[in-house]
Amino acid sequence: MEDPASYADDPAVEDDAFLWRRVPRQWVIKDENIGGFRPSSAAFQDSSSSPMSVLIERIVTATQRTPAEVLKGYDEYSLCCFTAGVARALGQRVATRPEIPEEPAHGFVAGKKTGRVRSELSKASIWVILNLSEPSPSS
Amino acid sequence: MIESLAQTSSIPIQSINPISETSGMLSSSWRGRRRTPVSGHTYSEGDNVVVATSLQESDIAGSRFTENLSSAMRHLMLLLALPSDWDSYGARPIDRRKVEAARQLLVTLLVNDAPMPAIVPTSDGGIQLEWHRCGANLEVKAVSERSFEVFFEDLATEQVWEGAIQEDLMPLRAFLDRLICV
Repeated sequence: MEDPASYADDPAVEDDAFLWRRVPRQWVIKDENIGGFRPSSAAFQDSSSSPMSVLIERIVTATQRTPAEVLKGYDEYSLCCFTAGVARALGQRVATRPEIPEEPAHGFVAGKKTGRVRSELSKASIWVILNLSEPSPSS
Repeated sequence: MIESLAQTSSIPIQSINPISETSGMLSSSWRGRRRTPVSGHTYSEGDNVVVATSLQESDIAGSRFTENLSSAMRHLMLLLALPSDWDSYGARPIDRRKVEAARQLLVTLLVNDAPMPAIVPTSDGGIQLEWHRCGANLEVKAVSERSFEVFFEDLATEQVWEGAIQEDLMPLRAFLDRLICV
């Protein structure tokens, strides 16, 4: 993975900006404490090749797209969101690096993700789209 | 008087030996409120687990244990079948050794009356067990065959514990006790 320190925080993404995170069905779990479903803390981990990917809501909406359109091609996925301020308060950096050519809203949440950080991101997240369909055997 | 009914179930689970004192570090490192084997149980490596009970309270709990264990094993098998990139972020396939670690831990916890956790795959090919109940959150991630990362949070007291455990599962016991409420 590229040096995580190279993912600098972008102050142009304000603290109240919403960051969207795609969530496969395996990461949607019951939370009896809230009487509903939450994204597992496992949903807030870096990948093996880069920090955690997100979509920056303002850029998505500026490109005239809806949450459902963001999930096009991801039939069994949900979409959750948290604010950039929550991530920063947990020691994370919000980097705007649209490295996926067809996705100008792509960004990263970079920084060490301890169990507490992942749990706090999970608890702070709200659903934009909650999909409770069962995953297909091949996914 | 509780009506006594004969009930038999058979769970084809390979290599499960939850009562053995010697077969694995996980089953031997937590000798707490272990369930007493119902008369007639045999837990031999490679055998099916056969339960023949009457419906008394302890036996109903035993039936719940076998149902939970069977459900957990089926879930783990499904996770083992996940392909690369199953999370769309480049996830690795699930590591069989981490599944085995999670399985051993599950057996030990369930036989000690722990509530059933959510069983979640992780992007690095691991397995995480999660409980969110009774005003507490507990997450246990298998990071190798013999070590686990633990995160516990009591929402009422804001007590947080985060760390790694290896052969000694006793730190988990207090957390699991906290997850049992009326």
